[in-house]
Amino acid sequence: MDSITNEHFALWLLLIFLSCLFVSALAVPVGIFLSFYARRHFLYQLLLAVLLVPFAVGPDIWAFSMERLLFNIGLKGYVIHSNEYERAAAWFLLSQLRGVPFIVFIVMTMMQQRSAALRAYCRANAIDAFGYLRLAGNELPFLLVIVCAFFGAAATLDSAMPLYVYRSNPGTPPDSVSAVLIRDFEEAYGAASSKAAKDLIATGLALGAYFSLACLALSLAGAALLRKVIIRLATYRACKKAAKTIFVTVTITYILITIAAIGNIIHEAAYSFYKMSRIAVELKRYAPILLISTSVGFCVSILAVSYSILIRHQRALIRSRGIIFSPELAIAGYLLLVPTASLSYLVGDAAIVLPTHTWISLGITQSLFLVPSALLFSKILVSSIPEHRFQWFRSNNLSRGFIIFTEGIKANYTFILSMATICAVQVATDGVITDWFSSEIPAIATEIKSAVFGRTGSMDTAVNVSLAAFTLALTSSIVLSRSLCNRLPP
Amino acid sequence: MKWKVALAALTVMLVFFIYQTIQEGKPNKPLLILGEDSSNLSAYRTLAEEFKLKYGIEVTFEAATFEQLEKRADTDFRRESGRYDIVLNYNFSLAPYVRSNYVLPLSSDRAPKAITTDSVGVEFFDNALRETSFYYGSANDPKTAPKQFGFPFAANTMMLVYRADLFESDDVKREFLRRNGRELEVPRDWNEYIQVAEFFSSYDKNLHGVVMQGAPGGWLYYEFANYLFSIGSGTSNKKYGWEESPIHLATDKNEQALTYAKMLLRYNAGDFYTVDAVQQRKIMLDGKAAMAIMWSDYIPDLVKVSNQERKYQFGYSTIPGGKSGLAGGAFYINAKSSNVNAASQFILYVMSNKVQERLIHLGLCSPVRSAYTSDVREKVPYAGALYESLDRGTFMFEAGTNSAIVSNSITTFVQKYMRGEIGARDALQLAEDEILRKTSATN
Repeated sequence: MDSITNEHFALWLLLIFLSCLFVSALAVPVGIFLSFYARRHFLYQLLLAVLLVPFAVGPDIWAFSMERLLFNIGLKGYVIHSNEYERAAAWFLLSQLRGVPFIVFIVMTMMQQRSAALRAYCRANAIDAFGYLRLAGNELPFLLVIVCAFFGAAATLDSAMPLYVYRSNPGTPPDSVSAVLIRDFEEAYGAASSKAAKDLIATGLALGAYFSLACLALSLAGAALLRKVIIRLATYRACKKAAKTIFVTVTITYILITIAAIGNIIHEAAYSFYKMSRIAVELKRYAPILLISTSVGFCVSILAVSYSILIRHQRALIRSRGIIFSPELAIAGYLLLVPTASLSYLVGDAAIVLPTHTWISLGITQSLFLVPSALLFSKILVSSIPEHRFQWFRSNNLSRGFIIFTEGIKANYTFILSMATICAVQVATDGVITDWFSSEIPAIATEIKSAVFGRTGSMDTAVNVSLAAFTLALTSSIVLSRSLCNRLPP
Repeated sequence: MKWKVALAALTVMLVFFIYQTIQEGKPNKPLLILGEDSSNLSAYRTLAEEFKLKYGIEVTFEAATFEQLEKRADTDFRRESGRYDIVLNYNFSLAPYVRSNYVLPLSSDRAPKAITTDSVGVEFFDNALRETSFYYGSANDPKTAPKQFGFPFAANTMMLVYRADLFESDDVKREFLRRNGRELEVPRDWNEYIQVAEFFSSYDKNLHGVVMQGAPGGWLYYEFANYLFSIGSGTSNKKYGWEESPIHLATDKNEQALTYAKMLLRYNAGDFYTVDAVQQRKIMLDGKAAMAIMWSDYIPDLVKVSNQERKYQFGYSTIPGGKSGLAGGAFYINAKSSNVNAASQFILYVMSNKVQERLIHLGLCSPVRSAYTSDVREKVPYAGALYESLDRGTFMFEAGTNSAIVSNSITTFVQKYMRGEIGARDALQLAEDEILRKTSATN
């Protein structure tokens, strides 16, 4: 495509680089550091919930809430009228406000499970959080850092932020990947419609491959940097104070911004009291998508954990702190970085081929896209189960159903519940796959886009839908955090 | 174990296949119409029940955002699945549809003979009909005689909306007379327009003279087309937007038009670069601007809200200068539809005078001239101005194969000009060069 210039490509690669840097140098160390304080305590659970909310509400609603926040504090005009570099910085930082807390959340929940024994050891021997950071950092699998980097890059690269905050286009650069692809598609469509659609899909798939490779290389370098430099640096006595200040400031800043975003939306919705009563109506409207998303979330999570247990049962795992080759990583990372503009056309093609009821079509399509990520997380979980347990199962010839039930579902019900909730919230707030089916099943992200940019759009509807989404995300995040902390010491 | 799974999967597939076959084979299969979720579609939706009672054919409307409409229509056409029987889309979509044989010409053997302009028996705004529903008979040959590919569902134009409460206020009138030495009137030409805009901006610090659309996605282009064609020399000399002819932007007159627009920016409300039609309407409803050039299909909602809240009163007029632009869209019948007769029946039914008259009350910008009766003009506040705009309506908005290129290029370089990054002449020249380069690359 003609419009993808070297400048575009350079900017997108820079964003991937910065995202990987943020993940390695900031999000992962903060996540490990905070996991030292893992307790079955209300404040810890609340911290987990607040960190998950920006990711759980979905990219469109987060971008809209940030736009509203900037507007109300008078910074939106500044961003619009500033120069290209300042707008790019705003895009990156506002997107990272969604990506970083989610990565901190992932690292915290993974490490609180993986390093329970290490935490107990540190407490018994009066080793502080920085000592724990160094020890746990050595236990940290590269795979987790790579996964986090993919999520971080995806949260920035294809963010809805440039569209909502400054309506990006070549006259008001910089542009997101999907914005450039869609513009090219529109321009080519007039003369060659079918070819334009095929080009859009093909270019998106190719860009996804480039971005995945770049992200993989940068995240590997970032993981090495994290282990060799950052974690070590943070544990030196001279740097401890500065590191603690950075970690605490980062955590508090992210929490405050999330609370401000929610508070601002509540403030706008509560401007007239009657609008608050609309929230119940809005939530009721989304009952079908909530039902589908919950079903999809649970099915995918249970299947992913069961499959991972079976694979582990069949093949003894060689534990490694280094890179574990994972085809799931390749597929999940690739799908995360394929631009949504192309993905939505692919989904359209798939949806029109599926000759089934809308609910089933939506469920199948969503499951297809969620399975790689779910498998990846399951694999990380299952790799933490001691090998001697599987050896015992094998030597006693126990049935596979029994192993799946005891080791998979019963022993990891909190993990399944949490993953199911994350999947469910992703389905409910997704703006790509559900968008295609939204004429029959109201989708939250589609409705907010149509409320903000549609012909019959109104800000009241957008605010109400956002508040409904935040309510949903916050509730599920709290339930999830409670379930994840069930087995922690009080 | 494996064969059991395979058998279960096969059974499920078989059940779905049978279900689908039964659905497809049902007599009087419902008519599925895809369109953008707008006041126009809402108006047509109200007819579904009545049409079913009269003809026994069920009609289902699928309302989508504009992006969804484009995506769904394209996927359906490309896959040749014939899911949508009628697609309500805007005139700039017709060129690619015809070039790819996606839609049925009314002269086609498959189209019923009854569906012709003569047999419909209503009087259209002729320019609106030709702007929205015609394209070259042989899609790739601009020398062939145009063919009709549908009937317009709406004829849109841009109108001047102003704060009537301000224009009628004695204090405001007195102050305007004192400052400008003439009576305050709704501006009829562009000099008056900028003078009134300047007056309102200085009259009240919470008020701006105008609110202009400067967002990408066509909004800036539509707003600017009014200045380019009224003050400047326009984008080309053709008669209809869909005609394929070269674009010429870098002229002295267009430079004047662009300079004029930048002067207006001094009296503009909102962050110009992000203001689209929805934002513009919101700014007007918030009472932050005295005048705006608005799309006609956004006005019904404005009337509805202003009637409910009664905060400010609005007046409607043709835009300054002697020209109004024409746009809109048409009912395009899917060439792969298995329901062509029912689709034609529906189009014939909605095109009657009575139905169109009713729909104007519900917010439709009707393309049927004979539907604007004296009763309609009396009861619908903007109907008189809309009629006048459509009556004098002419080509302003590109709708050929390069329409997206023209719109995007003009948006890019006008935004740069408005930011002060380039001069007016450079903006026009760069836009023209980019249009030429991209057009030759895509053809």
